[in-house]
Amino acid sequence: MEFLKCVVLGTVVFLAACGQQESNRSYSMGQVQPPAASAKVSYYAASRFAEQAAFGPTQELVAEIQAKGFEKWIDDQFALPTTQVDYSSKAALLRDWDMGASERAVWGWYRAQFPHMAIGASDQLRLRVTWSLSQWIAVSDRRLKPIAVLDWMNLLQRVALSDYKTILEQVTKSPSMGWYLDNSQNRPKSEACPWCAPNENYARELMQLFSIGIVELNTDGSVKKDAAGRPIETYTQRDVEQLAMALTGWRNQQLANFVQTKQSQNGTDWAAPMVPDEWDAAHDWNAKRVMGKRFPAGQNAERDLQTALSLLISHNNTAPFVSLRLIQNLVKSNPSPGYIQRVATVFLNNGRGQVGDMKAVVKAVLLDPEAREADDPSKASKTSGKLREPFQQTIAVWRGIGCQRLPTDIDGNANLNTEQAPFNPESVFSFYAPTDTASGTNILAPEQRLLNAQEFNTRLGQLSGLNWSPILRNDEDPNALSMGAAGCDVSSLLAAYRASPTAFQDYLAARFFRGAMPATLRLELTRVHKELQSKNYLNELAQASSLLQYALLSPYFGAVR
Amino acid sequence: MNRRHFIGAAGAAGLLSGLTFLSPLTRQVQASDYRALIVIDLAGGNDGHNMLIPVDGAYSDYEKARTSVLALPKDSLIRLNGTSVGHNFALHPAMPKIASLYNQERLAFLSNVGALIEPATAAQVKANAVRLPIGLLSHNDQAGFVQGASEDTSGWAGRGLETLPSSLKHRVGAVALSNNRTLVQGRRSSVSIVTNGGNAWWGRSNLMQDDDVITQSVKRMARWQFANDYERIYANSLNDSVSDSVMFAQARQMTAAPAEDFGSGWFPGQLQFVARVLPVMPSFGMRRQVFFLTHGGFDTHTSQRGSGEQSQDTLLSVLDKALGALDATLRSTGMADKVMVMVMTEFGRTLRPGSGGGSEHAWGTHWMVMGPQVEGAQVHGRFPPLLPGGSDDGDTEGNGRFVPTISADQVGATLMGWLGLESAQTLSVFPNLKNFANHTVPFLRA
Repeated sequence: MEFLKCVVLGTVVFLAACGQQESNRSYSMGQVQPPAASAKVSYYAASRFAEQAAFGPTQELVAEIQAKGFEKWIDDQFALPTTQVDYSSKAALLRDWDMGASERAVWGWYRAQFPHMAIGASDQLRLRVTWSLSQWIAVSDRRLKPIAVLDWMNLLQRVALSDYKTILEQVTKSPSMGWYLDNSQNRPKSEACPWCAPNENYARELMQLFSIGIVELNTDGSVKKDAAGRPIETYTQRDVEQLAMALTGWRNQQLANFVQTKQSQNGTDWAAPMVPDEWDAAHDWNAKRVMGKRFPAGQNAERDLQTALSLLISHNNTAPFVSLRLIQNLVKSNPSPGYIQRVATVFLNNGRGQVGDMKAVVKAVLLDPEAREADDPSKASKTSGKLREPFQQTIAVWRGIGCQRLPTDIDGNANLNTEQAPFNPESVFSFYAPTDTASGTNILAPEQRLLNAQEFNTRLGQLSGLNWSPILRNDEDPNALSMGAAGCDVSSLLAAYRASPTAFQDYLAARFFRGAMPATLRLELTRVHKELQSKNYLNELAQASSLLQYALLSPYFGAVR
Repeated sequence: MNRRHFIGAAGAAGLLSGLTFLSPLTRQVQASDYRALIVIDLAGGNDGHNMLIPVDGAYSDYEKARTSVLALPKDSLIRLNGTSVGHNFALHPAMPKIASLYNQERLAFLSNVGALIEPATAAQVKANAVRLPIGLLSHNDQAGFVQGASEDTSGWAGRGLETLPSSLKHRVGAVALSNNRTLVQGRRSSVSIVTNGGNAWWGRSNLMQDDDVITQSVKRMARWQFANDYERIYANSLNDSVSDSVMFAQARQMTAAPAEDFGSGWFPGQLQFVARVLPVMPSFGMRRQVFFLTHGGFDTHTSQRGSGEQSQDTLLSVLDKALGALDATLRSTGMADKVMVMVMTEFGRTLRPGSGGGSEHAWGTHWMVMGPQVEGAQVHGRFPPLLPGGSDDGDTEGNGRFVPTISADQVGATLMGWLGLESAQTLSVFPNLKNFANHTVPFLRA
């Protein structure tokens, strides 16, 4: 009860210090013993690092980080092969361009693919950066067919740890992005094509959302102001129109051996980059001027694109723009200007004169003193951390109980119930903006937008309602079958639950609370544990998974601090 | 009183358990002074040029500028009664119910509304001689601006509700029916986000059941206090969601689903839920509320016409059906004289078509208002000549991006005034209106 006492006595300040005493005490009660002080990284710090650099801790991952230390672990991650979605077994169904039955038949399978990787693939850091990139370079399956999104995931995975200019180039040439933001239909009006007209959609978002943003930034991320104190806009509508002209003339490639057997099928090769259209009138060959940079007349589509990419990668905004977003997604919502500045400096020069080296930037984000300060929980500040966004929350749950992939039914369909299904934002503005504040405050907390009643409700139900159909016998539990088939360690969960409330709390502490579960939470869980045990109509797995979900509903898990 | 204090003092459950004892008479007295504003955001930038169309001589300008790619055939349009601002108008063929509401004088259009810091003409814009909102033509920036987020992330309805006399305030004044919430975001108070249709079953616990041990645990967790910003924000969000879920579940229990067909899909479902629970809102102590709904997909760079799910034709048809059902429901529940509806969008679209049968981001466009005191069957404001490069086109390239002649703030101030915002407070809610001679638009009868 020390924690409660602290809350009562010191209602305003130093609650963290109170929590800290509790944390240490609970920590020592953990079933999984923290390593001796001689280890490089504490159990708490390794678990915390796994929340930043991976999709949450597993027992194996924590041990690996502890043994290797942060930097060695990062280097080893960089060297791992790139996990890709293999959809060859479903290619025929996915190729069908019908919004009807054939696509619905693979929808659940498609939906499970990114979660499978996030839960079970070993190149966790690359996947985590892919996920980050997808937050501000967004496409959505609300407008793209599953196959186009699957190839988009594979593309992001391939370029995530390359350099930012390559990322922008491959994104621009991606047929998925070309379709999503219409650049594959961007054509200048001309005598040869009087019905053509430029499409500004991609050109605008390439600058606004993917690279520089709408106002000029200092290297520390702060907004530059003019003499009148107003922000300075980075570009004008005229610049958007001119960049759109520079980006005209790209088309999709068709599969070489594609034979159309149904009208609904489409032969676009979603895995291949767009190429310049052979038709001269598809591209605008005039000179352009974008943000003062002259694009000479007579450049073809590829040359115009290269000029545009050089312009964007060398813009003063790009380094702080990318740095802020990566920091926010990996480490904390509200970084100090110094933190942004340090990462942006690495973006501008990786030490070998290269700009936008993603490996160097990611390392700078994760190893910065501000990222690491709360590894010692007594050093956590008021502004440490971020909210756990819905997708990462659900993946962390499955990883924590030892699953190797997302539980599905026997056909591989997942019922991923969340406010944030991956690659499913409402628009290119994605799930939240970097500048979003928590409701009724001025505190940066982008993910707060997604924390509504529906999401909380989901967090209490994600481990139940799994579907293993057809159920073979009356005595079989579909949840147990789904989880077992996904490699989840159901037996450890049940054993701890059966042993005692304290044993189950220790199990949860080690896997979800960095080995440190506050006493207030233990107290609540003891109450809920007893209550669930009295519900005879629930089997033990249902009781244990419910209790786990109540624990994870608590603010101690809802925030990653 | 902020909502956390409120919960702490009374307890959401305590408030609600008393509800059933309210006599019908009490409810009626409270209901007599209840007003709600329902705002529908056509997210993505609705092409007003293809919604409200002049069918007099100006039709030929329209037809020429939009070309066969976008122009709607004249004989397909639904004529509106009378003349307004010097024109005869018609609506997109997918909008028969809205046309009928207009002709019944329930509904009016506001012509060429948009984001402005100060009054501006096309000539001033081209000459760089006027202050303009940051990020014109950018979706999120302009959406934020027309919803009031020009200085911080709060919106004009959220600030307006915070500024009302205390007798009119309630912690659930600002309600968003999706995660899109800027308009109703206050500076100090949080928004009630209601997306689950009033469901109080969370996992194994029914939040309405106060004696349930697990429910009690959830509610305790939500009231724990934290020094860290993000643990505190999480707890606040959890606490708000618990109390909102309980309240709206209660409201749902007290009401039946409207008989009208609102249509299928996300937005119609959310509007139907609002229509359902509105009549019992006064019995929760509500006096003034703003409900904010999003009907998205209007960013029609391509495939704007046709029967596709994401075409403007289809999206307007969805809006028409839902708005018609809302009006019928408001009438049948006796709420028609207490509810104002506004249909807004972040910007209009270029007069010229784009590649792929769509249109590009532009600026001013037409909004709608519907409600008891609306001067209906009229188009208010000034209708721009539909000429690329014409007198109202602020685009140096003549693509047809019209400079607004009504500020979004003027529309907002008119509606917040109807909700009870005192005129002396207008500038604190709408700071940019200090640059305008008229703070409101005369579309309401006195």
